[in-house]
Amino acid sequence: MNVERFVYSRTLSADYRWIITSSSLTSQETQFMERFLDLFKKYRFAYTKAPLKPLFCIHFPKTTVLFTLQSGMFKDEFGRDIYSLEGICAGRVHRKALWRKMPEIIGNYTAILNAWNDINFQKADNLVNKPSTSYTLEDLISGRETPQIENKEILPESSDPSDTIILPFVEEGLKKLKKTVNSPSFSPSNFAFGCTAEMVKEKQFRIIAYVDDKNRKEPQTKTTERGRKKSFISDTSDSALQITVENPQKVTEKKRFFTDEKWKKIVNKIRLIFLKK
Amino acid sequence: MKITMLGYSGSGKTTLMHGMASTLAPGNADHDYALIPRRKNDDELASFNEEVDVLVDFLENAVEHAGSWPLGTNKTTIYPFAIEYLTNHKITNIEWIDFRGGLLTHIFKPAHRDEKELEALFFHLIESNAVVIVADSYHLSHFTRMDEIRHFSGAKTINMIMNRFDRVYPNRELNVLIVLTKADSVDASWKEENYQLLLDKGMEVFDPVVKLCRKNNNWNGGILPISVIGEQNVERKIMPKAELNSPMDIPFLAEDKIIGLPQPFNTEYVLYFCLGFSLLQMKNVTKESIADYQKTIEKALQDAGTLNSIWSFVRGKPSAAEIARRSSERKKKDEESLLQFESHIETLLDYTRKRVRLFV
Repeated sequence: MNVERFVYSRTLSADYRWIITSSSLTSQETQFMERFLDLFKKYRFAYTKAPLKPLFCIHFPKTTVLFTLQSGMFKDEFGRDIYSLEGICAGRVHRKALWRKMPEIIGNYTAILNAWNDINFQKADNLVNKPSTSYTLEDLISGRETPQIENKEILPESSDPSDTIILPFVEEGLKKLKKTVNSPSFSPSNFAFGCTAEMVKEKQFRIIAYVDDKNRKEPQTKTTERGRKKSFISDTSDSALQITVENPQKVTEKKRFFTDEKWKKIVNKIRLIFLKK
Repeated sequence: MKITMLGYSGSGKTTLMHGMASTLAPGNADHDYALIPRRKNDDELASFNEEVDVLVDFLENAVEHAGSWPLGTNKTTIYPFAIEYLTNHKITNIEWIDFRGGLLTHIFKPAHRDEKELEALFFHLIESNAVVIVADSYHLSHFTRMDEIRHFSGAKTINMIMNRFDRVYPNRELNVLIVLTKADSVDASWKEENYQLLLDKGMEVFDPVVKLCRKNNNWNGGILPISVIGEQNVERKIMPKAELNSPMDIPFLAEDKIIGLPQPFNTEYVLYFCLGFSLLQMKNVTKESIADYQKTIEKALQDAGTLNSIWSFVRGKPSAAEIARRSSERKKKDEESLLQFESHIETLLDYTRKRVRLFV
């Protein structure tokens, strides 16, 4: 399975741009991802305190992207921290295959998604929109420390498949993320591991781990202690962890006067009237 | 009111803006005027929580609070502010345009250039009441040849843009302030007699702009040394670049380590200059000139192409002309309200004359 790399960042003397890009990404998609870097920059103080780097998986119509955000790896010629967005993408046909490899990627995402290994930072000022070479995912994974993948866990059937799983943005949460994506009953979904509330507004995510930003406006959620409410994830290692389950669809429906159900009822009534006639 | 900053990447535009807002934060007993970050450019006062939130969000990026320099700007950003006098007496709203410096640094490199962003830069310039040209003082004092200084400080590009601006809009009212940032970093000899040598050099470097300000009756110009960090609060390390990709690139790396609590100097005078002269111009400008201004914007947008209008119509979004019309209306409203604050003009200009060397 082939993947391509992408990096949006700046170098010593050259300003922010797509240094390496994939031909499978559209300009809307790259702009969409740039927005995440803007927000990462906005909430950089929260990210500085976070123990992990964020990880996002987003399924676009024709591509799946997996990316991380970071700063401080390099400095520019003025001594300012450089921040970057880097990741990999695969075509729609590889979506399931990529998902199968997800636990391995999650286990070592900072190394696998780090495209700087292929770039000579000192000489990268002239690199702009360089088309990515094609890599096999196995190549990117191999040579890395193979993470221990726990036994595949069958997740309990959810009464509502649109429920969002909230994880903590800590090592324990990462393990849970790995387990969740490893579940055969869990289909390829968008996840935002280490995000802000503003990022969540950009896209519907099935799994969310919030970075501890002060601006997080709590969505209308039902917070339940694990065990009291049946969670997707069963793990006995940390009973103190809180899992929040929210249904974004329901939340948005609260704001709409004509919900889908109401529309269905109206359409059914009209249909009945016509049938009677 | 709109103020646009122009300067190369790393010249200190974002740092200046945050430093200025920090100096003029509301409730600061040392200053009569306050610069208050807002979420939107409107007159509505948000809830107490939101008001404090916006302030905190913005000021956390100021050097004195962050303890570090702001990160480089990767996207051109518009910051709305309100300006208040003493006891919460609001004077006006302003939009402060923080351009991505790389836009100018790489203006001649097609691969790096973003045409849309460049178009937006010129659009904002056309609409601006004041242009703040930002240049790094260290570059002015470090290089010896004038062509080198102009190249590395961005003066060459900025002189060219301002020249074309004057050529196309000869009757436009504009206030131009050349801000020499990082003034703390130059040698002592440059600082003597209120930075006389540095200011002389700055005027020489930006000579075409200085001449335009003197020639054009509708322009006011000045030059000001500033430092957001102040004297002896920074440890500057200059290292030659290990590998120089091109002789056109700055041959050294500069790393400024913050070692003391910032004691900014002159940052507030940037606002006093921009506000004072803009208010003065606005006072003198009649409603006819407002109409003229609007016409010019529309003409400029027409020149940009009719395709934009068709495309906007197809997408069901407001066209550039429509946006320009709306912003002109806002501007008109601002100008009308500003006429009520004539009393501030002299005060602001008095402040300005104390520190800014004016091009008269």
